[in-house]
Amino acid sequence: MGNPAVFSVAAQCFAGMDEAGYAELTAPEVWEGFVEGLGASVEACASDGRSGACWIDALKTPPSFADYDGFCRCHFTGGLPGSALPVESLYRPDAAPDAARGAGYGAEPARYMEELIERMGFSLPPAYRAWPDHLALELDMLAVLQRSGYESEARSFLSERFGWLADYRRRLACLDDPAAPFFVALVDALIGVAGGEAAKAASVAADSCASGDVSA
Amino acid sequence: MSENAITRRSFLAGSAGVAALAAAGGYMSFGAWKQACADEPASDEGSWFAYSMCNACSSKCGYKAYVKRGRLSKLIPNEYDAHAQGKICARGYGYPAIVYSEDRLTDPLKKNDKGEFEVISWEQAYQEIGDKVKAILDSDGPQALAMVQDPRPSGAYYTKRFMDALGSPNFYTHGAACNISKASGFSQVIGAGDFSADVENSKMIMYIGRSVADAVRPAHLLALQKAHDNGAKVVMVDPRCNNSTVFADEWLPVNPGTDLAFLLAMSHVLIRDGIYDAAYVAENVVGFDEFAAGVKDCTPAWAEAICGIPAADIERLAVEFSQAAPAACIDAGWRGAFGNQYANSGETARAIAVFNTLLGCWNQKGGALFLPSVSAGKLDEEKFPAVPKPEGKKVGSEEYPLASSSMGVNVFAAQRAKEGAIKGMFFYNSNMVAGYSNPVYLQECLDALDLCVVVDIQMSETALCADYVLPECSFLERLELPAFNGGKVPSVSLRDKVLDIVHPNTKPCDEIFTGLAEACGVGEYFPFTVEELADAQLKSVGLSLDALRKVGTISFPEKAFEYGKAPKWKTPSEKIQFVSEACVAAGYTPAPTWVAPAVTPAGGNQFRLITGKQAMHSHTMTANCEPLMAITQDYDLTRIWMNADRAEQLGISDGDEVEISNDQHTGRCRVKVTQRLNPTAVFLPPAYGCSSKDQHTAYGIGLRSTDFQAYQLENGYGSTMSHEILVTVKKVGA
Repeated sequence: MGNPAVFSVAAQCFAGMDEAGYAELTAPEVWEGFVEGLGASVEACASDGRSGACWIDALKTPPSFADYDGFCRCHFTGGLPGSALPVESLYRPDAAPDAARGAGYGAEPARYMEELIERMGFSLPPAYRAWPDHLALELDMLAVLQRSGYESEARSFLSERFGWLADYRRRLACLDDPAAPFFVALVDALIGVAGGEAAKAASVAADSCASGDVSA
Repeated sequence: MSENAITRRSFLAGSAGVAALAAAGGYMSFGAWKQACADEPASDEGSWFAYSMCNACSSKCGYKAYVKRGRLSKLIPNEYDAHAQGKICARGYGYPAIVYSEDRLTDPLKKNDKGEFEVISWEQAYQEIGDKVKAILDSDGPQALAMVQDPRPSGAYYTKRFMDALGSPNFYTHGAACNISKASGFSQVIGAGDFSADVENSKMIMYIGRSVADAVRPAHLLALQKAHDNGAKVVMVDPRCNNSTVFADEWLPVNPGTDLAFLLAMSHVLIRDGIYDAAYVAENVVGFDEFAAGVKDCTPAWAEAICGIPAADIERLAVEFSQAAPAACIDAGWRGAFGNQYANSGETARAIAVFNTLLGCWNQKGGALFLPSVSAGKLDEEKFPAVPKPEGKKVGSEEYPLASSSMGVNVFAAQRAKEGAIKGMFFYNSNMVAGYSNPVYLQECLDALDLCVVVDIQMSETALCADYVLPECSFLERLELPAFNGGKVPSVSLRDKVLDIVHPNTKPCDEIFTGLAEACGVGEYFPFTVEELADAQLKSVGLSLDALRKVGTISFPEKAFEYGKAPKWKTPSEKIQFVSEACVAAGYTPAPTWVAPAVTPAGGNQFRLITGKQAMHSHTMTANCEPLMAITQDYDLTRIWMNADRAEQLGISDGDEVEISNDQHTGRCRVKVTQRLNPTAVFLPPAYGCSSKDQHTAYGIGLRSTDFQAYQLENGYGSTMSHEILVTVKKVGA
């Protein structure tokens, strides 16, 4: 499933950073390790063992801080045509069968994440009060589970929580912004990781059914 | 990849890194969580409540809002609230969905060089706005600043105080696009901008262009129902057979813009036949003879030719009114047919006040009442320092001298921005661009400003024109100042904070305007919190914030209305004035006489475009609310109404797509063919035609009447004359 540091770095990318923080994170020794680690994670999760890593080139050179910061200021905010907040509730269709769009803030994924964070003894950071299901927090939760040795829970979380990223990628791909390809590539890689894990989980479940093991 | 201090940073577990997760046993998969939620029985256990008031229209109906696990779980209308009386309408139930809308503004925004909005900090917003305000004050003085707001309990107080502190008299409500003509016309006659019909005790009540079943305030609708049940005669004068007509005995499909002729003719009958309250008039009225002379020729036959109501009906209704008087009146309306619609709206309002006077119905049971209200008393000046009254006259007050001074002509301030006299404008809870008059013109006005600041919760068409957009939290996330309600028994209600602020970078308006005041160098007038001010206001009337929080509404029975008490007429003569020097100065006759509407449809495929209310929407502010727009979609409510006979002449069938066009705009929508409409008009449902792409639910749905409306203002009164629109209608593809 990969190195938790990879998910922590990805989480920070979606959280928005000041210039000093961004410089630290994108320093060559950190960033190269991140890109390499991300590739390894995708490979580890891919059911066919391949990374399909066309996203790697786009990630090798992170955007300048000005471009990164400009992207965050224009797109990581709500209520604008260019808004592209990475919040799961906005991309999970509502329970209504004809609902074409997400359910708005605070839908089931948000309530689940809020409760999960509380159950696990953490506090929801104030900046995330509106969106406990923000991608940064979901990735952070994944890293925390991994670091704490809860591999099975981490796999469950990974396979359940990131299915919305394909829709989110489509949103990002529509943005006319110099930093958009960077975020698209980042999401592509995460889709690779999560999609591979979900496929494996489905395969295991199918095998269990085929063998008559109903305890799975 | 190696783990280090940077890569181990965690939002959840802190920056020190993650130790072994002791509570991982608390992990629950999403599937298990959903199942647990589904298994949980529905109950109020673990919930709490606070009293709030709806914000989906101006009525502010009170309810008890229950919260469970941090989210709104239930609304129960407050039976003691003066406006709700135990009911709320569809808007009330649907509008709270706005709290979690994806279109909520979440951060302060500044328009960048590319014309796009980007996030800035509150500190930067305050600093830059403050610097620009100070620069405008230095170069052009406070007269170059203006504020437009649609009154809400806190907003009305803080925005006014902010402008007063800056020294600017240019403080406006939305009134010029709502009820300014009504309030101003009434004021010329009776010295008050409004009155309340004693509907439930009435023997005869007439509504002109008003539908309390569409522009719902439950108390008004309940009163109408009682009147109907009591056997009162209820008459609906409206080009459209509105939804209140189910309680009416008669619907009079008046030609739009001609209510004045109808009123003058009914007055003519009362005077001609001597069936008005002559004793009351003799004692209380100035200018009766002038009025009587003016309506001498306004016979029912004359009026029929103009308004389309048969002369015999006009005669009969006037007689019925005289027989029912004084337990009878014409309702004051709200926006209706004479709030801001026509070139004669202000004069129509004058004629209504005159007609009711002829009935001798003021403060009589079943008549037209001036109800008492309570307001906050004097506060501690050290804690709540008095702000000097701005010098100078409000922009527009000389050009539109009849306009209510408390409302002002908001769009004229915008016009003056285009002309270069106004440099900075603030908007609070106001969507002037889409809702007040021609959007293209108003956008040009705002584009000419040096500074445009909009405070809102979503990106309105007005916010799109702003240099800075400051995000307010929703009405359920804030405490507001107490709302004092007039009534037979006056009361005070509270909008308390129900939910924690959802988006942490949004603020309530009291904090926003306090921050702006500090940045503009007038923070010394805001050394208090909204809690402190609310408590002080309530203590000034013998109550407290804690006491009001417990019950939501408290009444003042000692101030209750008494029938028969003679009102004080706040007119120059201290009597009811059938004649007005101010009206003469503005170019009208001393007493109200016939003034034709500005335009008249020629027939053929030309119609007057009128609009009105639907029961689930309030202008542009509710259109982006998903549950309310779902009603629109489910019932196909964006269709334009057309009279069936006219439709047949034009070869238009129900459901056809038609093109509506004039020199301002062309748009397409489908048509509802009906006998429920005067043949000279088409009725365009309100609230639709949103042009802000940021409003995902409302954008592109239906047509907007203001797009067809030229920028024009009513002589003297300054209303936007929102029904003085001619359009042609043709079937698409024909």
